[in-house]
Amino acid sequence: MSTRIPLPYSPKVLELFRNPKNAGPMEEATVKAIAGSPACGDMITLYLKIDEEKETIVRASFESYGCAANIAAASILTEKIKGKSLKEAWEITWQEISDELGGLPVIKYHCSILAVGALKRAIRKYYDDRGTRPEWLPEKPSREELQVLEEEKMIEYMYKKFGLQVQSGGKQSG
Amino acid sequence: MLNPYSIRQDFPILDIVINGKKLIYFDNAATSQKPRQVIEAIRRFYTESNANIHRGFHHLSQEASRLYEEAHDTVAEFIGARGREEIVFVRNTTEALNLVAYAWGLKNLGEGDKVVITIMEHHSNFLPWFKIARHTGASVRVVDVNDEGRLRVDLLEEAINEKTKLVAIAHMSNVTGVINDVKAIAKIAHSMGARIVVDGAQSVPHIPVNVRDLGVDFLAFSGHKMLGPTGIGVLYVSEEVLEDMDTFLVGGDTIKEVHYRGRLEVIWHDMPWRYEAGTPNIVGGIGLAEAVKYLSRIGMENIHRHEQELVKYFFKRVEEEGFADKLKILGPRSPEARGGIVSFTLGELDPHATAIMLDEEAIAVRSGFHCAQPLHERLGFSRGSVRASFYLYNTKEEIDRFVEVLKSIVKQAP
Amino acid sequence: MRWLTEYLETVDLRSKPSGCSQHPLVKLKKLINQLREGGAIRVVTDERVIPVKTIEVIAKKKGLSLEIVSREGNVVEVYLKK
Repeated sequence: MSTRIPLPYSPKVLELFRNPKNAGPMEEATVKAIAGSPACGDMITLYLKIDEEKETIVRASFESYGCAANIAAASILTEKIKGKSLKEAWEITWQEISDELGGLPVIKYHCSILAVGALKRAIRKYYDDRGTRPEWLPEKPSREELQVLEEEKMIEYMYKKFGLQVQSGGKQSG
Repeated sequence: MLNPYSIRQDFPILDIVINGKKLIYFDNAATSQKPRQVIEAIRRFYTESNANIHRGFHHLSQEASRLYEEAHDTVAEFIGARGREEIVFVRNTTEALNLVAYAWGLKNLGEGDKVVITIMEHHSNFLPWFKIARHTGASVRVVDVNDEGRLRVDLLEEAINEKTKLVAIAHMSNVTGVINDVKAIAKIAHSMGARIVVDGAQSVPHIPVNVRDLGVDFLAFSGHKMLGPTGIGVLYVSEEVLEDMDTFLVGGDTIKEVHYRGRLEVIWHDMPWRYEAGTPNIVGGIGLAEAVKYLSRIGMENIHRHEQELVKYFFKRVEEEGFADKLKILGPRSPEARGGIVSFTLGELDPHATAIMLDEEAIAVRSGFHCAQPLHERLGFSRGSVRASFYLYNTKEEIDRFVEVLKSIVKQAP
Repeated sequence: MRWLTEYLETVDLRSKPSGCSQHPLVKLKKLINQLREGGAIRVVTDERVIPVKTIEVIAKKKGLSLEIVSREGNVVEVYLKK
């Protein structure tokens, strides 16, 4: 469970872990999405406050149930998308987030994927709720969405196999 | 000599296994474990004799009263007191010392008077004197120890003068295990007309104590540290100081007669009942008497020697394992004039951290200041210490395991 | 279930204890007992004084996960998660 030697986190990751930005739930959020599962140790809930006329993100916040990298990734993502249009936000990739964090250790890539996956889920959910889909929003799930689903399914499978109960983020955000 | 292996048969709790490891109980200075005999005496009282005492003619009340009174006799004999008149049952050592502070102190201390205590006192023999001094205008003089934690008897002698009304001192330090020469100190105190109160919380359970041989005026100790139940303690009051004392807690059972005809008239009860207000811890007293009988059967001299043997063995094993330089001891390393208590720190490790890691191995010790923060600060242990305290049921094998675990903790530290 | 309570309270085990109940390990234990599911604590310690092993023992007993986040000389930063 614990490792005696810390992962080689970048100074940026450590800084954001120590002083995270936009942490905590948001009551007035327009849309909320969860990615990951507490069973695997990493999970994030993303809250977006959206200006519906301009289709831009006014504010974003997150709750994390994860590691230091998870917190840092969610932290930087919520900063980055503030003021961006939903289309611009959609185009953010997990590599971008990882790069801006000064690079993540390989085994922590999925933290960045989880954060971006949650963002994409939130955007898709926003349009699904309104029964519309802009042209730039692909019908097929994005790479990050797929990876998040895969991770959640694998965990769910493991838990079923061992007869355990798990609350899956994927199910909740539907 | 004493056989700890057969003694262990009497202590069911010592068979406990924690995290798959056999319990090693080295926190005896905090409280001791209880033998079957004591547990059985308590059970028997509640199933066969339970009633309130001194309050009825019915059979059970008579029986309970007899058992409770006889418990005083047993304790009196154990410490060499004249009889039950000198034995007051209280809750614990702390209450006993406070009783002296109030019942004797309020009546005998005044402006300019001095109470002499030492820096090695437990907070319970430290704070009551400052409090009572504030009430009475007396002052408290705190006598130092040397760097080895032994009392500076020269300074004590200097401090005791005709202004001194009371000397309050621990018989055995609950941190260093140092045993003070109470007999000599009592002589010094008496030569100046002062009284002496002794905190016997650590001595009475572990070494032979005879109040008349020591010549002390008050001796306080707790039942739970000497195989007895919690909630029962003893104050020995020499009949010679009785006259100087006022009552402390008053009410039920402390009187013979109370009249109110415009003004109050009270005839106080005989000793010791005058100081045992309200329904006392009856079963506690009976349990304590059983514990005292158990200790007497083993013999206090044997117990003392056994514990000294364990301390000696501990130091030897640490030396053999090659980490004596990492083990910083509070108090003397020589086993002379010392009880079965070893307080220490390990390298730079925090005492609580050490205790947590020992607990992982099912070894129970105490960590912190052990209610004697002034002594820790005096000896330069500002983070406190780890305290291992032994008793009659501890064995050399347990010390071996203890040393082995300590060594592994030392090795892990950077 | 709430995921994060008061976000990431920091306990600095390097602070000097001034008395029995003021010890930083006592403070850490108290905080851990108050931790709700999803809560997290950041702990900074000097390995020479309070080894990570100590924190591991406490974490294991309370069912927390532990991640060593950074290490600089003897100073270690640990992330505890319920």
